[in-house]
Amino acid sequence: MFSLSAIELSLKFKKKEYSATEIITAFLQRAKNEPYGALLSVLEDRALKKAAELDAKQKSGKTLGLLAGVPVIVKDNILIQGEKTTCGSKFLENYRAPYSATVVTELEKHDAIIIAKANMDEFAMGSSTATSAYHRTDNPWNQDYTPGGSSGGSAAAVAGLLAPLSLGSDTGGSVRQPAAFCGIYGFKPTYGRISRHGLVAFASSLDQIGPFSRSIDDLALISNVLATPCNHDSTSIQTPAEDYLNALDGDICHLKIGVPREFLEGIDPEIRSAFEKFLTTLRECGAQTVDITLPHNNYSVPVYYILAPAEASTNLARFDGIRYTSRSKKAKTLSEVYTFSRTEGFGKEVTQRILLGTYVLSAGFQDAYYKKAQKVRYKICKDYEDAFEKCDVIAFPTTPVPPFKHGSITDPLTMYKQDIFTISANMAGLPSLSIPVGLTKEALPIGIQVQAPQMQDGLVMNVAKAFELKTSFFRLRPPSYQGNDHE
Amino acid sequence: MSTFKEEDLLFLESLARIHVSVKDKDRLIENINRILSFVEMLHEVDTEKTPPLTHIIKGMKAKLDNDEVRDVLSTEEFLKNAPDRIGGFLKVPVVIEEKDGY
Repeated sequence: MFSLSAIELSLKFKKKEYSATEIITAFLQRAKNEPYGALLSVLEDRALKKAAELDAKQKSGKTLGLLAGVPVIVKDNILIQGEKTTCGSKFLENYRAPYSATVVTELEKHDAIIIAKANMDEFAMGSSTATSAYHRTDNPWNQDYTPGGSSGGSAAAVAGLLAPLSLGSDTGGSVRQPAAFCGIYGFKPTYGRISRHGLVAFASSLDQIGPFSRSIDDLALISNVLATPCNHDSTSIQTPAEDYLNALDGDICHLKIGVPREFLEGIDPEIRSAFEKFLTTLRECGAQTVDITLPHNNYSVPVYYILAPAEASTNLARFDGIRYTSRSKKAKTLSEVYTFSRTEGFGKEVTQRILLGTYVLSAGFQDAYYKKAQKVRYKICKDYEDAFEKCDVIAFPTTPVPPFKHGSITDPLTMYKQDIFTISANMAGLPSLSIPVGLTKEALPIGIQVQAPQMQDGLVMNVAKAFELKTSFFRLRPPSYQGNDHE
Repeated sequence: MSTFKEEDLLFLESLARIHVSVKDKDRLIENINRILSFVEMLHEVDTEKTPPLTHIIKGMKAKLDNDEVRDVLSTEEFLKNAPDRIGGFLKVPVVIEEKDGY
């Protein structure tokens, strides 16, 4: 049953082929023995209790939710009441969430069952899941390689068939890059479309929760559940979302796809050729391609590494050893409680970004760095506005290179530059979807991104649908998965 | 832009309330310097007439809530995560030392 989609699983539950308890027991068993290091905790008691409740609900004849019986895994920076939320940090090792994130409430309202929390780069800062204070996560396609990051655990979980759906968070590409590396779909919605209430904040003007899936229909289904106005998030879009599943007719005839050709210079040749094949397939579906340009995209990485650390240094000021993080045992004065607890609690990458953020916001430097970055961010958004005058959607590779080996990138700047193609969607608040389009010669996944103007999340998904109808890449399973697809 | 030096780091440590160990200091200063010189490229962009971007969603204003109490976390629930407490309060080390005459 592990390779079934969420839609298929839910249907089998609704037709009483499997009970919720049977489904959840099987997935919990798999989660407890998973070989990828994708998970930080398995919520066995909670999940079994919810499954029993769902079986009772079905017996009583009540209407079942859109995701009834579907196991879901969420990144460990999303709160689930009473459960640990570590953010991949030792600092929050013992933190138990006092309330649930809106996305969790919505999933459970629709009878999904959350079975585990996924590993991540500490406080979502990283592109390989290697900054997790707990353990590394392997790419299910080849365990010598990273799954990407920061939502590497959530991506590896879905690629490795630990669940058909998972949630991550995307501040500069943290859903899309691991989705590309793991050969699955990863979606960053329009800013504000999915509530951030209960997501531990990293950089609030960029953060979005986004889903991972192995099929586009599943992605649309979970998006239907998640994209709702929320009273607890002041940036939540208050108008109701469209029905994404309904938008998936796969008809992209006459759709104009913008291609920023300048992005293709210097990227990995196999990714470039996969991208050209992707465009050819879309043209066969009746779409047109037009050349566009996003001239300020090169500046997205430096803008990001000013704005994101600045926002992070502010957001992470709340972790101080007083209210809910671990407190240093060495501290004797109040001031030492702050300093010692933070020093012991935060890992190296997080410390570096907090200090960098503090620097760019400090007196005398704010105009030169922070304000300058906000202005260039405006230009990046303006480029998109101009480009969307000429096209309906924009497509380019999710990453400039295929997945890399564990430990192969140690220089922070080289790591930061991995995000060159993903950051701009966060800058401009656009919906952006990474689509699995094939494998390299070494059998490592390649992802292509499709972006649209704000609020056109359904359009992006429909491009993926058109591609999915013409190809079978999304059906590929990693060699590490030994399961039987027909059980 | 001037180079980021050890005294700058000391100042940041006091602002951010994080102490960087002697063994990590040189590496961190080097990294911050490299990142700062990398972001220097932003100065190539002419932004004289460009406004800073503060809201991403066009036409969206921050939503204001009515001034009413809702979904309040109970003290007990909140204090479950506290590293130290006395009764219904968070406990911290003494802030003002007792002295003669006070």
